Amino acid sequence: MAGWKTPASNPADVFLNIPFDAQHERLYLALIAGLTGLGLTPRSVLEIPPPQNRLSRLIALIQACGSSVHDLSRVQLAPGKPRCPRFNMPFEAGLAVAWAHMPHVQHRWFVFESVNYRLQKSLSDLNGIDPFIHSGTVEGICSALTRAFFREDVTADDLVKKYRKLRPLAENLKRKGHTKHLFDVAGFRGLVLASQRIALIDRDIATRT
Amino acid sequence: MTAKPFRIVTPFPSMENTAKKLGASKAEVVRIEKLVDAVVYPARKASSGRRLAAARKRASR
Repeated sequence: MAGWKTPASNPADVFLNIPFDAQHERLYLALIAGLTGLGLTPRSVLEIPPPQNRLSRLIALIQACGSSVHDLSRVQLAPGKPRCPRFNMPFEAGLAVAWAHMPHVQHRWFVFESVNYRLQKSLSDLNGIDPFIHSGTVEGICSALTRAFFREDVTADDLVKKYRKLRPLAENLKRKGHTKHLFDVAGFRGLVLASQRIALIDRDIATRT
Repeated sequence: MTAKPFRIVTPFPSMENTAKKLGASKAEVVRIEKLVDAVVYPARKASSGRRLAAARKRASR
């Protein structure tokens, strides 16, 4: 397209496409702790305020990230009437995949699932690709992250340890009123910053010893 | 999907850059730093305080 310029993306920014509900809280924390432990910066749709231009800002956010992680493990009907599945996650995955296929674009996308072979049924368009199976556990998420992203001297066990440090902090953030909810902009920001501080301090300690 | 793992070669980002990216204020960053130090690394804080006290004692001799 004449005059069309590829927007600049940051290779260390990772767009997180995950379910935002209490049942998924542990995995949400594990993903944040894991990505920051790998020296990456999680980004999320939570950063976008609800009202206007949500779709264009969502697309801009995906374009600004060098990679994206799509956890498509939540396939159940959402609670509350009318009961229906949530399509946001597969939709956002579609946006990222389309973006990654644009010419001159370097965007890496990774699909996470908790159950083996389920994706073949829930999203058969992706048949032929092997999702990272995390079995719905923190250890599974950390292992999947180290298979998707590689940084010398960082193991899945390191990431699990970082999650264990972040967990009490998350409770603290809620209790002390820094945020009402971990799935809002303040909660997400607080968790990413706290997790990054943990990663930087641990790295500092490791280089000294 | 990207078949090979993405090899990360970029340095760890600074908290200032991340705060700017996520729209966090300086006050929020300081609050979070204090919270992490208090909850996750209380021993580290104490030991650095002890180191500082020891250094001051040595200097006063």
